Amino acid sequence: MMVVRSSTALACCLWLLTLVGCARGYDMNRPPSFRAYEEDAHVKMITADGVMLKVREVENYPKASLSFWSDALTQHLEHQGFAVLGEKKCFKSQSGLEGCTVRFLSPRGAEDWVVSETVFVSGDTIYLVEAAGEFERFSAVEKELDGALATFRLK
Amino acid sequence: MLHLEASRLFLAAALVSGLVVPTALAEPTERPRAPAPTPSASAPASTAGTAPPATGTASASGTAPPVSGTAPTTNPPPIDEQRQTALVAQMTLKVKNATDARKNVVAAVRKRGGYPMLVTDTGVELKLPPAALSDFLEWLGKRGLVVDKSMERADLTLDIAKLEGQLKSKRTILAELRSFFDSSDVEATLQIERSMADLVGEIEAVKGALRVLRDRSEWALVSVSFQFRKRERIEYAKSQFEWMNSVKLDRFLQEF
Repeated sequence: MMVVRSSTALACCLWLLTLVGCARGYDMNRPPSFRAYEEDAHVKMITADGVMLKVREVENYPKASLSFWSDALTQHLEHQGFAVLGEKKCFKSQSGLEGCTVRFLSPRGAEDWVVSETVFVSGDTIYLVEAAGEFERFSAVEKELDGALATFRLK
Repeated sequence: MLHLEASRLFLAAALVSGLVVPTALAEPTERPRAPAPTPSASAPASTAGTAPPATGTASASGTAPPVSGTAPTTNPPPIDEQRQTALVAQMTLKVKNATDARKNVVAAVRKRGGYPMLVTDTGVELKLPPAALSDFLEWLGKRGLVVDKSMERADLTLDIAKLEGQLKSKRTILAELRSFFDSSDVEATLQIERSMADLVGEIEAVKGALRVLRDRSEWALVSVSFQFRKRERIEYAKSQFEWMNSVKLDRFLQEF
């Protein structure tokens, strides 16, 4: 009897996890140094030394293109005092979806933090892949993060 | 009282006889300059300055080009070379390894004839010859991500010329005061002595100010920071696009 109950509970859990995974309209590969919060409705990952990554969706309203939103976001954050790190990097993901990444530097206490914003636009939805971490720790995972961003795909 | 007056008289006499030379009258301690003009070419203080002779011949200026009995054969230096400017550059550079970057920066500045003034965990302050500045900044910009940079240039020519003029006129007055000793009674001698003491103090102050200005014009100051400190805190600015107002580091960290 106990075995039946356990197996039912396990099946329920798996079904819920599948449901959560399916609820997302997108997905992306996990960079090797990151670990994912599997139960979260959105993609949410973290490294051992605290570099964080999270994806969220916002409404594409007023409806605009990728370059419009990436430029608007850059200007907004610059206006707030963030310093742009390098240049805006626009790319096409492996699934053919176009995205743009802009990275900013922000003082936080005695540290400098990198705030990375990657924008994908599809129909009425803007997908924001946000990552943040202390500069040196972020720099250590920057390449694998870029690799994972290239795997961003819509379901 | 008598003893005090006697000592002042002795000092005045010593000044006149050349036994005691006030530092302001001693050989100037400034950096090497253009050779002094011939004795006959001494000029009033108001003409002292750094301007070249208008005609290319021996000038009455205290900083005239060397004259050895013949007219100079070279043309006056271009306008830019006559200007004495202070250069101050600042750069915020993000690097993966600040310790290595600091060592490399110090080595690079020494290679270009400069030296570090202050080295800390978060940055370095350097002095280097102005001619090497642009090359150094170009090299520096390739060492990491340039977050912020600025350069200031201040023209010190007028300030230096004014101080040189002041120095020359004060020295002239001091020399004239010395000549009054011969025909002065005790009371006048004491008054002259007081005036001379004041003047020597003023001359020293002008010489100090001149040294500072010349140092600023001879060395470019470069401040390199490996930490972004331009704004200690991010200012809130509302966007017209509602979702952008939620793009904040604090919110991201709280909601994570």
